[in-house]
Amino acid sequence: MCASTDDLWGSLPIAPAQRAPIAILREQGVLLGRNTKNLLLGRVRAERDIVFSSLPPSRTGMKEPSFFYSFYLVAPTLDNYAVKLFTIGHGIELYPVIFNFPDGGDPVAADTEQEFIQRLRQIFTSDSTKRVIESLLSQSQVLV
Amino acid sequence: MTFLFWNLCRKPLESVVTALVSQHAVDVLLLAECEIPETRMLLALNSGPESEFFLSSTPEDCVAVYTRFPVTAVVAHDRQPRYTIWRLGFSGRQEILLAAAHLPSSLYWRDSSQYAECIEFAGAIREAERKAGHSRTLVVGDLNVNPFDDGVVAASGLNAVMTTGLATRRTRTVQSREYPVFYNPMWRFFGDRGAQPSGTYFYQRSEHVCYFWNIFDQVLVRPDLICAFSDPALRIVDSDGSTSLLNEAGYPDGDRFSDHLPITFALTS
Repeated sequence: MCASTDDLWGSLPIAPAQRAPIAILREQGVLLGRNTKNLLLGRVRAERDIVFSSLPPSRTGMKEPSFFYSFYLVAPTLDNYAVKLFTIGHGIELYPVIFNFPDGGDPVAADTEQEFIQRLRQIFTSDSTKRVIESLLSQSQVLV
Repeated sequence: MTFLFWNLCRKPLESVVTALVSQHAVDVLLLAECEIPETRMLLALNSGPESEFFLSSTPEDCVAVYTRFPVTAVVAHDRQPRYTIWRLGFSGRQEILLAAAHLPSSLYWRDSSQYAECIEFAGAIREAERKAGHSRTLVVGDLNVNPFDDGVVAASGLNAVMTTGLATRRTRTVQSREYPVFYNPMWRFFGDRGAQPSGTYFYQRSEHVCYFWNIFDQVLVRPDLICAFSDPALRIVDSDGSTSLLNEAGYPDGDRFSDHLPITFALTS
């Protein structure tokens, strides 16, 4: 006979106090599709075996992130051509989030959800991102 | 979840397709011989305020696939020149396998080659089921053979039987080898159906054997999906709601539309 023990877990935080960065990225990916009639999609891919080569100067000595996600712009009608915009990394505590850029731009950090959203807005509305979006959309629309 | 399959015969029929999608509340759209550029098709499907449709297929796929589901939910498992086997995994539903095919035509291939291709196709489906660990499988497409042709009926072929009662036997054993069956609900469309078409493709030629009506466009259902397959929802579609897809003689109007008629069917949750 096994004697059952009390539930030792206490009150669990079923409704998290803050949104995970990956949830925000996925929402933005869906919104990109909605705004472009799904000619472009924002796709989030979990990455493994990544080591950030550098951290923002103010974060030197910070513990290496454990979770990594890359955000891609994908053009389904161009045979799923994909451009990686950035990779984020964070620890078990979700924030701070470190952004790394494939073009070698300086890594940046966001300490809170609000800062993370602000960084995303800067990246998504930057000239370089707009150039990529314009190029992919223009190539997609040639194929009409 | 509603599916629509149509061989477009390389016609620019996007406005008819979007009307059918709207009329039948289609969730999964499958188009063979589709030369409509993907961008144009996406823009047509997503002309409303919500961009609901995603392109899941690539130019490699012989059947173009557009769905209301995120591309991550529709993943190609086996891509071959004449078919693609997709894994459809939606949250809240059990995964299904969808084998979308456009098999070679009897205009170019002899019967025995078509039969051999069906055997290859059936083997690929069984292998996909083995890898997926289940057999919740649908076959849909222009098989270019009739439900009574050897490639569809043969145990080593698609092994598709005409009633759910037969299909619930699940397998047929021939020479001590066991083959899984499909239910082929298309049989019911043969014969006189009044004003409704008696097939999906009409072909007449001055030779001794001629069926006139053929049902090349088919859906086959594994026993594990029969309970979810909505029999009343299976239709050969002959109108987009306002315009008939048939000519004055009552045959598919290949001049204005396609020489094939679409089929639509549904899975309930």
